[in-house]
Amino acid sequence: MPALNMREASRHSLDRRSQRSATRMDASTVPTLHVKRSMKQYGSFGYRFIAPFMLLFAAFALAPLCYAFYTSLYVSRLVGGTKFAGLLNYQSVVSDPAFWAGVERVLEFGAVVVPLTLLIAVAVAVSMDLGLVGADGFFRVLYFVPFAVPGVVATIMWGYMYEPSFGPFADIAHQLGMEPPAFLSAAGLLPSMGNIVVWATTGYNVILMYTGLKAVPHELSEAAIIDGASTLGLIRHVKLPLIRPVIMLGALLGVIGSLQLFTEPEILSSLAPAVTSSYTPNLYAYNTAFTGQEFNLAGAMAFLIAGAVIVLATGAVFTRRLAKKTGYSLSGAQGGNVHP
Amino acid sequence: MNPVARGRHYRSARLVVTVVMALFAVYIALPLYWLLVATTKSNDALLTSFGFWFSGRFELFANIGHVFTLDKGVFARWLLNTVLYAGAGGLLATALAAGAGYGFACFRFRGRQLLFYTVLVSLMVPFTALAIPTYLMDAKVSLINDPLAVILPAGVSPVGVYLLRVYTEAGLPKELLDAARVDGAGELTIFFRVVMPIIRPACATVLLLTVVATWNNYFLPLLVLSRNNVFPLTVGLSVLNSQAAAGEGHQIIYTVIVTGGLIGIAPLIVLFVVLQRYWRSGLVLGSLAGT
Repeated sequence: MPALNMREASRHSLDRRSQRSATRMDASTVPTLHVKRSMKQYGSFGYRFIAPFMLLFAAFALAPLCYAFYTSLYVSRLVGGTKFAGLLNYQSVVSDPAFWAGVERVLEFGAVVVPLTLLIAVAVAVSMDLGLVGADGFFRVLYFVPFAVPGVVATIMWGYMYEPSFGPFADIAHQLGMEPPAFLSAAGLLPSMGNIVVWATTGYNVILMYTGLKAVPHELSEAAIIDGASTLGLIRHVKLPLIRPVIMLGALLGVIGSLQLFTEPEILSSLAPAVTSSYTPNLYAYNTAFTGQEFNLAGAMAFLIAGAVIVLATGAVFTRRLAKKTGYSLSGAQGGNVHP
Repeated sequence: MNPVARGRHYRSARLVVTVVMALFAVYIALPLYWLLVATTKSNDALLTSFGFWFSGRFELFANIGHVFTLDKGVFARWLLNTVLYAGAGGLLATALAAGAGYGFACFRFRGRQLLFYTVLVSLMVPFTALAIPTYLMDAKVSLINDPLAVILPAGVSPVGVYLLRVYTEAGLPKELLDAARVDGAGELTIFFRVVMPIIRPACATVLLLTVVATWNNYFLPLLVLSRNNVFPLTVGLSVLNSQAAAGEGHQIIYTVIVTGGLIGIAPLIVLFVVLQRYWRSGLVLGSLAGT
């Protein structure tokens, strides 16, 4: 066990206030040859630090997927019990038109909601960044508030506002002598849900983009203006290209989120009969499990949905990593002799 | 001086910007405003009066009373559950993410890159994708109706690991670690005495983010919890909503839902406003690391 005074001395060397005291022994004067441990010994501690997280990750992110797949390979019948059925459940899902209708619906949903969200977010973020309006802090907090609101409450708020019998929009329509907008009809339902999702996610994207824009050095903007750039030109050629990664990330997360759509249709289903049991893939899987009690089939559906998301996410991660050179060196994978 | 202010078309730019920001602000505030107004009305007033303005007696406190006396105080139970799940889940997630972030940032070991890529991929896979598989697994191991079924998954925060790794790499000087090791300090001691004080701000951000995510989680608790007294607020409100729509005959039910909703989101919004600097710094980190 090293001498206590060495530990004391090192602690003082970490404390900047006493760096000047020349009489103290500090780490740099200690001969390091015999106390230097091998890198491999340090390396093993890496495992120990990540272990708790990785274990829980394996238990609650990987294991469920494996178990869902395992369950989906079986079929339960009243007569005959649970039997191995190979990919039968997957065949059922893939040949189910209701399932594909749901998939088509969420893709359509994403195709509209995601670009809309990003467009609005860019417009607002750029506006904020130009700094021509005061009370920046107030807007920043306000725009981020929807992030703190759970999907359930957001859907309830908008759902009640959409209500044709007591919603405020219907009231306004009546005042103007018009028919109340059919938010919760079969035709209006998807846009109405789209609005809820836009409301819930745009603010988050605004703040993310605004933060990215703020990281752009002032000198760049100034140089462009001196060179004669108009405000629009400045935005188009300097600022937007610099936040492209943030926009791409927002797009990816938006698409993945759209595929998962569950809460909004589920809550609205009590207000709008137009929400069918197979409205979105996740809703279909949920109803299959709980109303239909067909857990194996639901497992197959859930596995497909999760699988699609994972494929998307993996693709995204790898294209980003290949497209830009990052600081996370790959030499670590070979257990190289890079100093810590 | 704002560089744009020196550009041409300053006044029209200012007008456009103000309109855009104000419109968006109104859009964001609209349902929240509606909610606030709605909670001040009696059930009849809620169903008959104009949504965007007050009507009749100010019933907010009466409504709050109704919320908490509903069903022998089950709402308070839901609120407590939510606090428990979010708090425990958040603390667990932050602790694990801090350790993992440090491990990925400061050590070299075999499979480091691969494991981190796995974390990155899962970063983009939302809770909802894993909800049904987790339910199936929990049912098999009899974890249904157990608070752990919500708390443990909440402790897995790939975002936290990512943020803390970036922060640790950027903010922890290697010399400190070397000095402490040369000194003979054990690895755990180093982690708690040297690393933790430095990464504390990032930990606060991760804690805030995971608390919010767990508080707002709906799909998973809906699946794995079936007994009324273990529901979090999200599931409880949803149950009330379906009951109201099915016309369960409770006269008070709509006001209970909106007031319950307000009580459900108020703590988080307050937390957000008060702890602004933590999510701001986290976003700076996230967006910089992503670019």
